[in-house]
Amino acid sequence: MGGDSKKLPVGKTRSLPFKWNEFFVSSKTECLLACFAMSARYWGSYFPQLGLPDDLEVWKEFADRSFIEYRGTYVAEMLRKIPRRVKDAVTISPKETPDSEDVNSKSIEFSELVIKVNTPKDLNSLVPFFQTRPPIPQILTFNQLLMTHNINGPNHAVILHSIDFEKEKLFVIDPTKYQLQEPDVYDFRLFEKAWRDVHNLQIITYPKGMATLVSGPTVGIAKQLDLEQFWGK
Amino acid sequence: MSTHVNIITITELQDIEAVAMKYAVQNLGCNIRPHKALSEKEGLLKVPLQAIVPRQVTKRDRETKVFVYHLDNVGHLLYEKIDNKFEFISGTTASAIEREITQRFANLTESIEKEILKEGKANWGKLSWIQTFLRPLYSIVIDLVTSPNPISVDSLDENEHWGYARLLINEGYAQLDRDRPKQLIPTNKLTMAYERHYQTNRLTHNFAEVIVGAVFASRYMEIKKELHIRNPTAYVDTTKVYYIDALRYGENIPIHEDNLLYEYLKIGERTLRPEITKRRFRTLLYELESVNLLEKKGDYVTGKTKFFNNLMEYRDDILEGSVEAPKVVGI
Repeated sequence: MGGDSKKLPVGKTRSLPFKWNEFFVSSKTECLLACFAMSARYWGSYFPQLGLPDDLEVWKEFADRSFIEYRGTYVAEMLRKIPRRVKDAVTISPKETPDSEDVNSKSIEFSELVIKVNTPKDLNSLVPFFQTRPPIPQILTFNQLLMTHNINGPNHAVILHSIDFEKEKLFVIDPTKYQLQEPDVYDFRLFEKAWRDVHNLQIITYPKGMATLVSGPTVGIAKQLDLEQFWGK
Repeated sequence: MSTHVNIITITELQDIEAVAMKYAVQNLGCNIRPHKALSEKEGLLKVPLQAIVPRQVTKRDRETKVFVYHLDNVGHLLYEKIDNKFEFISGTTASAIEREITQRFANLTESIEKEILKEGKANWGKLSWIQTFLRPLYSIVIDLVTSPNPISVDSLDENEHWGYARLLINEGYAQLDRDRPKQLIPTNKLTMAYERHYQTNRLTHNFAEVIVGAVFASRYMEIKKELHIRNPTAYVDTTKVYYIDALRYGENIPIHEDNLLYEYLKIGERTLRPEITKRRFRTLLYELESVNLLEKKGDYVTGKTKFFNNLMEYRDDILEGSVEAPKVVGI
């Protein structure tokens, strides 16, 4: 996609309205947990009725929980290990309790927050998530070592802050860079290779009822949304 | 804030590997990757799974080295293609994959484990958990060398101690009496060892420690897997996690005890109970220091230089299938 400029939207997407002092949760090793914690902080600020804990320490504690399994963090296990204080604040409906062996669980509901795993076709497919009101935080996982050193390595998770299609740059919130306090910048070409290696994984969280996701191979995004509306043109 | 429903349509990757990747990140682990799918039979596709496991070693909170292991075929997912969609049929469970990875790492470190067991041979019997959990073994050894009468197999059976006696038989320290059925007697090997020991020490219980240490060193897997006595494995695993990390790093480095605790829990598939586990782990480290397998300085642990140098020849075994990478923190 990086080299095929004709297919790219023009300009920069809206930025995720991310308040660093309020939402940022760092983790040295558990980047997926930290990204989820940041998404929860983000939604908590917009929808207090979700009942998510205000206390940043609760989320820091959550993101610091180490998973001792070699396989690495995964969504179902992440929800099982949510700290008691968070569990008290939100209810996991018994019907929706995730089961790691449940082959049919297409999406998992966490109280009123829905977590969904997608494999968008390309970077273009990430644009609509900036166009909802408010934008939906997108956790992107990718092979970071492949991107930086051309070595096949483990997954790394970041939150997408914005995309600049003109400069072909992605701006991301990296939970391991706790002193940065501003988006890290990735080049399209390098990122796409590393993202493609993990089949373009995207994990989104959004309050139940706020959005309906339809997955289809051919339906164009532009049909659903006015793309110009949010690109500052 | 007013809310309204947003309808978002996205185009997703449709290939089987992408479908499998979604399943993996949701149900198995982010370090699990699908490989290219293979056709099984009519309409069935098998997706082999690869584990990409980073191991990180930090020298006194400063320099960190990361080694990424690529472990192929740790499991698979089976799908059926119906109307251009992939229906999940079955797959290796998360726990089975974890066991497989643990086993692969155990295989890589088998030689190190044997060397550690050999190195601690004279001292294992002095350690508290070995004394507690292998107590019957001590009693049988003392009875064999001090009692004029043989030990009845029936009485061992009654007390469920036959398994311990069998360890001594397998190690050549005890045998069944040819003349009297079902009676356990010491072998010449045990008697002579006792005589030698008694001449210098004049103590019997010390002798049992020596024999139990030797049995523990050479019958470790039987104790662990057949007698299902797992607690004493804590000593071997603790020693192992230090030397494995130090060998990966390539130096006899100081490693923070918290980092070792994390590895210790992983290697033994132990449950994480932070406070209790940390206290117990610290005690383990002190005990291992007392028998000269490790050294503890403050919160940091180092190895014994001579022993570490001997183990260096196994460094390639430990690093098999891995790539050393610059430090990048992943999931």
